Amino acid sequence: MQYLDLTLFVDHRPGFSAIAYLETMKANGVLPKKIICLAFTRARRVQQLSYVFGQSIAHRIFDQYLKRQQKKMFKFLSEIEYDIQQSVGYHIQFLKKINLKEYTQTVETIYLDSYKDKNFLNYIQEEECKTFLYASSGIVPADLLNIHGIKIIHIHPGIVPEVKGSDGLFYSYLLKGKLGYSVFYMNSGIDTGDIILQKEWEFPKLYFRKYYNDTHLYKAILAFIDSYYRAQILLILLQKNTQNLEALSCIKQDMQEGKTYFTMHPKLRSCIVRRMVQI
Amino acid sequence: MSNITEQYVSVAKYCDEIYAEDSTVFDTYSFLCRIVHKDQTLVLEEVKRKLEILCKKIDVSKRVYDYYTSDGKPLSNAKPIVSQMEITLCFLLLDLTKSKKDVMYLNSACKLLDNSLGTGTKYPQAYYEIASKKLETLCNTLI
Repeated sequence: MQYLDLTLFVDHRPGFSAIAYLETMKANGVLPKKIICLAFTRARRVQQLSYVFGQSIAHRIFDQYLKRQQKKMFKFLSEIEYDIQQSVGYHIQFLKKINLKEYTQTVETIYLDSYKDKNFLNYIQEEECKTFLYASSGIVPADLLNIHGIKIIHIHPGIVPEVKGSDGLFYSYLLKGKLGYSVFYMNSGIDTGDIILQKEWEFPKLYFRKYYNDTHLYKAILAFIDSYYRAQILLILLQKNTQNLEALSCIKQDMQEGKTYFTMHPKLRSCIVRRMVQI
Repeated sequence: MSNITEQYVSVAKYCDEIYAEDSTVFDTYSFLCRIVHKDQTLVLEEVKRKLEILCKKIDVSKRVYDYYTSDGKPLSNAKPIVSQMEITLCFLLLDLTKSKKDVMYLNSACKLLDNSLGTGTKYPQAYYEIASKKLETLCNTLI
């Protein structure tokens, strides 16, 4: 196994894209040297609950709420997962519990209020490895991006600058009938960083054994298909470059080009999801 | 539909009287009225850019205010635009979706319509129904 000079940012509960990155890397003999697990302590809902119940009870209520939500989501995702796995032909098990220690040399958990947290910024500043792969959620502020010497790689579901912003997978499909992915170094704009790699794929034919509602299909496509193709483009990148990940050749984006799209309205989303699947 | 256009005009006249042009402040009413009146002094690129800003406002804050500062923040005493203007903007976005075949406008129109209906506005229901039908047709033809 080759350990790369790369640190992965993942959420406290690693998301589907983080799982896809790690599983794909491991299957191909490369892994990041370090994983930083970001535990946000002051989610907005916890803050709101704290006003009424106090902080410790608020955290407990919120944890239980998350567990319930996760259980509900896992129930329908586990039903859909098999069909998507068969249609696309991948072997990643997105719903299994993962132990991060199996994917790296060092796992560090950091409790932070936000990315602007001073202790967190100081920690990152002193990090030996200066190249990060972003597999967490939320907008990364300039405070973090401006730390001298650090480079954060991001994988976006859309060919930038044409498709920037939210729901990139669905806008890509709508505009080009394809899946498009871009790898770039993050900057303070929304998906405006210097482009390292781009690739398009035909959207896989999806077959489902039974009827699922549009919201469930939307979530499943995001969880499995989006994460799978993100990991595929990461793999292409790593197969070409395992050294010097902080200084990959890249091209500047034309800021005047393209559009930033926003979260898709459920009505449009439903129309697109119906076009994507064949039941 | 002609009824709506008449109402556009009445709002426009009202706006012209009370809102003076100020280059440092973005006046939503005045801007929308100038589009509705097909003001020849409007530059297409400027319209496109400002409409994109309004779409962003709808998408992010779910509301459009009457006045914005030059950096896109609502003025301290700004108020959400009246429902009549909201539906005007919605029709405008739907027309743009049709002519430009741009889903960004359609997406914002969907959200705007949701917001308007959700706030229990007193504006005649008929207009919302017309807008909803237009939106449905565009969804089916564009997607």
